Amino acid sequence: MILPLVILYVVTLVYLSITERFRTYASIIGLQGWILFGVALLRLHRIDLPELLFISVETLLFKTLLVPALLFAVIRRTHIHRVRTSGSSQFNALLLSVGAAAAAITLTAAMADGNIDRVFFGVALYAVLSGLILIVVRSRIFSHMVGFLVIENGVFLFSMAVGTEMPFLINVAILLDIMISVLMLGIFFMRIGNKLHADDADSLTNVKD
Amino acid sequence: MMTTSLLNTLLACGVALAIPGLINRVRARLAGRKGIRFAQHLYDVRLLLRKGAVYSPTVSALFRAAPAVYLGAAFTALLFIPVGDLAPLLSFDGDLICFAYLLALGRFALILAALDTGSSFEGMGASREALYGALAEPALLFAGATLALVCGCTSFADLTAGALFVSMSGMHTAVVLLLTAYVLLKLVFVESGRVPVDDPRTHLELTMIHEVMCLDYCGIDLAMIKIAGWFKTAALALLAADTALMAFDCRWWTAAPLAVLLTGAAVGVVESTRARNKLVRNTTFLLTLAALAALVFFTGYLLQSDIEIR
Amino acid sequence: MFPYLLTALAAVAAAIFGAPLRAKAWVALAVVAAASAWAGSTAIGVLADGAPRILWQADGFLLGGGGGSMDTLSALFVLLISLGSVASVLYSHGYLAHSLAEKSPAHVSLHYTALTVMALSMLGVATSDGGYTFLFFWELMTIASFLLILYDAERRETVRAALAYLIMMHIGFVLLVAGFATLDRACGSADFAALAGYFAGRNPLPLFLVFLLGFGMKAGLFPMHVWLPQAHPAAPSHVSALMSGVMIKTGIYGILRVTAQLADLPALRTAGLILLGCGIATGLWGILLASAQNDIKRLLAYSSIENVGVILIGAGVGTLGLAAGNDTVAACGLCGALLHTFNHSLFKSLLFFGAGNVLTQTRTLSLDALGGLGKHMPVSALLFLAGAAAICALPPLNGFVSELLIYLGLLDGIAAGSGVPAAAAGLAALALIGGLAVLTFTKLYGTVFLGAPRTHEVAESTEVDRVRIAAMALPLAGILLVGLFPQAALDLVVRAAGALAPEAARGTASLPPVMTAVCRTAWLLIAVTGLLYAVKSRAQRRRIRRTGPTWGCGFTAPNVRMQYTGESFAEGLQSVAASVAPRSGEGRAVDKSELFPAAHNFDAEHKDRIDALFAAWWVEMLRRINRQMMRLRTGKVNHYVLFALLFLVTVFLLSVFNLIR
Repeated sequence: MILPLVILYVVTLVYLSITERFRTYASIIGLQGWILFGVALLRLHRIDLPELLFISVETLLFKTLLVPALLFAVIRRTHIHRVRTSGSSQFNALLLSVGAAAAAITLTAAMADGNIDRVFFGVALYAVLSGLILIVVRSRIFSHMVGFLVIENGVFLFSMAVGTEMPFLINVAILLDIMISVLMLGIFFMRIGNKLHADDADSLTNVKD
Repeated sequence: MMTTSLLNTLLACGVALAIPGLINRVRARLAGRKGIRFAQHLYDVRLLLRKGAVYSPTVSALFRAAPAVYLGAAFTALLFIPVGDLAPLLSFDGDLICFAYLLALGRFALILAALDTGSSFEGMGASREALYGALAEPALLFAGATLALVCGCTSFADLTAGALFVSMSGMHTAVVLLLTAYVLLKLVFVESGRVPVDDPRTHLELTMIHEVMCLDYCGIDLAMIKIAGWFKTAALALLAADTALMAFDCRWWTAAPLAVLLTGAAVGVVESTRARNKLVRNTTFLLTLAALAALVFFTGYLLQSDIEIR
Repeated sequence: MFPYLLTALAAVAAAIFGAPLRAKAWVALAVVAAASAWAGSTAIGVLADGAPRILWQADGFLLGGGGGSMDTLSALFVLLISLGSVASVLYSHGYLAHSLAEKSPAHVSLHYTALTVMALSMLGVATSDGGYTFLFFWELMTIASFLLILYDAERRETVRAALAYLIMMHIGFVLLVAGFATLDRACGSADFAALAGYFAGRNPLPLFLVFLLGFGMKAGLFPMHVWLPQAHPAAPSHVSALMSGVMIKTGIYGILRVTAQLADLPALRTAGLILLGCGIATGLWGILLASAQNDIKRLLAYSSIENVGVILIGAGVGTLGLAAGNDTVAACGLCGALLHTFNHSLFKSLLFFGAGNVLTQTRTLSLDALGGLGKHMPVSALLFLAGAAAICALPPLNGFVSELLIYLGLLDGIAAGSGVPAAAAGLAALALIGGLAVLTFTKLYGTVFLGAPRTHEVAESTEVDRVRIAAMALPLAGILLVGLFPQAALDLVVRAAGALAPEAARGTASLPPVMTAVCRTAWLLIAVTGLLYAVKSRAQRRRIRRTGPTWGCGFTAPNVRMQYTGESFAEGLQSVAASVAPRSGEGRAVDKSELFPAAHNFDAEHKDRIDALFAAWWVEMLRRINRQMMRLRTGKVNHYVLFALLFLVTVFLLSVFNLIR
């Protein structure tokens, strides 16, 4: 049962590189939240109740409901819709994503170790690389935010690859990261964005004096 | 032996003739209409066969010969496809490659015929068709490679004969095969020029790929091209149905109806609900398809190496 | 042996120089045909009974001894070389006929002598046992081809291309000399057979890489392929056919010989992966750049690079199969690579001869000026179509058979579960290369031979003479034979592969039924198509047939320049592959605000990034060295006296310390 969920997760990562609208980004983050919730439930049914409750709350509440809602709100407030300002194709972004997948597979095969679960390790590595590509290649700040959220989801999967117990500290750290980044995005767009009218990282170079 | 092969060919031709009718009927019902006759496309072809021909002075003998080559290649390609567990007429190790390259031969002939007319519209369609055909090849071959990996053999006939499953737990095999069937179904959209790759109903040159290549054909030539299109769709649809059924029970009386139903319903629903891709996006669409096919292949490979997901 | 060779060469040269102008071609053809007949018959004998034959043994040949023998692998390459040389010399008679009046007789004699020497030296390369005889024939081949390229030496770009060719070939030659010298010093003999002992004793990879680079320079491996697209348009068409169809294969021959000596070693797997990786890179780069070219010969040159990539993919797959112990994969891969080598020499020669026809009849090779030649040159067009369909690996012709064998090797590897990731990468690359080849060759054939002529000079061209058609019919016969009777071709190639690896011969047990089935499919396809065409023609006789202009969508004034050009055909691909073949050029598109557009000029050119890298790097280094040297040029005489004094002091000190004597 976990296999279809993992495959769906990888497919969402591939689609992340070819979408053209920000609403799709927000939907994909929400879908990834649901998938992680399902994976967490299926993997952690053995351990005790408080930790299970904490994980479910974390994934269900934050990743699935709160974060996408916030992203949709930002989109509505700032009326930004398109990922790229030009109309050209996303072919190169997709090629980069496929290259990252190949790199993740090669690295996982090279690091074949008995302790880690190789499938989760590979998928998590691909997620982290995908998020990095989003941050590096795209110029709009919203895309950077989405890339950061994808990296956080990847780190969540890494913690699952290591073992069946979920270190409490890691999960708290992840939650904190997510909250602070969403907060920063909100502040930026709601307050500063009105004054500067800039949501493109390239045009932010005007700010420095 | 010979009779099963003939039955196989007849069933495949039957599937080819039934799919366009079902697509039209599904689209009509989704739009709230009653829809045209189920066999209307056959009547249209009969009308075309009775007509004469108008040839341009720019064209050469290649233009007159190309529809015959296209139909011949499509028909020979159809002879490789098994329906369920029946044996196809032609079969050898590596016939997946022959199938793919026969489709490429048909495409080659049609592209050259389009360039022969000296019209810029047909050149437009020809250049797009060449590019999308080239980008769809890796997806088709990855799907075939996944089948070879799962079943350990390289011929279509051996795949559905059902004897050689490699050791993979039943559910994992089913998942991989269903995903491969999904990839093959998407390839039906690409090869037959359906939404979202192309819109077969607009006859505006700027939005078309397949239709614009045949603008200058009429009469028997156009009928041959239409029939060849049906054969190509049927071949890929039968492959998708066979792959989906391989996990369960693959008899010919389940494969043929499933092929018609699956393709008819999928194409009808997608054509009624989605819009055509911006042409710039088609290359990305095809690469995504190839990436998905590669992903399914590697999933199959990982599962075969007994890496279990706990 | 050496004096005999020299007297033979002198005799040939004297015969050609002495013959009258019109007859020089026939003298050259006689010599080449005689040599090819003798070599070919020996080759067929070797292939028939499978036992190698010793051709010559020379003890005093240059530095150390050297011998020549022919085993089944050499026999296959000798057949390839013979066919290619004879067709090329036959073609040159008609091709050079129009330019004989413009060149001096000595120039023409030199050209034909070089042609003969090249054919003979290639036969020598394929039959040498190794070491310094091999290098002698290799260098002779390079010098002969350099002279051949310089036929049109009055044009500057020809001289530049020939010099670039010579420099790059000698870089490869230096690598080969280094390789053979190392072998000689370590094992006492520089023959190919001694490589097995050398590889068994120490780490084989460095020497393998040296040989791969040296032979790869000749074969046109990525990134050392930059000489090919420069040399081919500069050379006359029959020389391009000879170089692309036959000479490149000697590089492949060397690579296969060296790889075969790695048998039973753990490094075989690494070698296989290297070959597969090189093949994928070379193939993809070649076809992406080929689709961007707008000159017939440059397009065909890049297509040769792509086919070398395909051959190396097959060789890599075969080697990986040998390393994994999978006999079927090894057999399919190696047989596919060898058959593709043979096939490529056939259809590439045919295509270059076709390009030569276009050049002599229309005086241009640019896709933007040609069009509609199929009506004025019907036989050339039909032969070119056969070559184009064969190179796209379409059934029922020969390209399909060889690529099917390579694909079978990849698929069998996947089905058996050995080396699956490498095989999957090779499969995807080969599929993409095949699809893009269809794009490239429909672009080439459609723009040149179909549609309407784009300039009026092209509209007045005529068909070529019958000797040239006969020369083109030779490769066509090979194409049809291999395509329609693949069992015979498989038999031939299996014997050749047996010389590379005996396991390969064992693994071919399952292949003959496949080839019989392919033969049946080919004939069925031809029968079905013929039947459909016949039925359609008969039916159309009873229906109305009219003539009407091409549909113009209501546009009232279409003209021939509105047809799709080569650049526009490949534009979809180039927009996604812009990083591989960047477009440079002048001119701008019609602006949206230009309501009544005036005439605009547009000139686009696609450059090869590796070419720019090579040229740029050398030029940059030379510039930097020059700048440093310029500091010493102060212009004052007393400084120059100081330099002279410093030089004398240095010499004195070096001799005092016994560093120079």
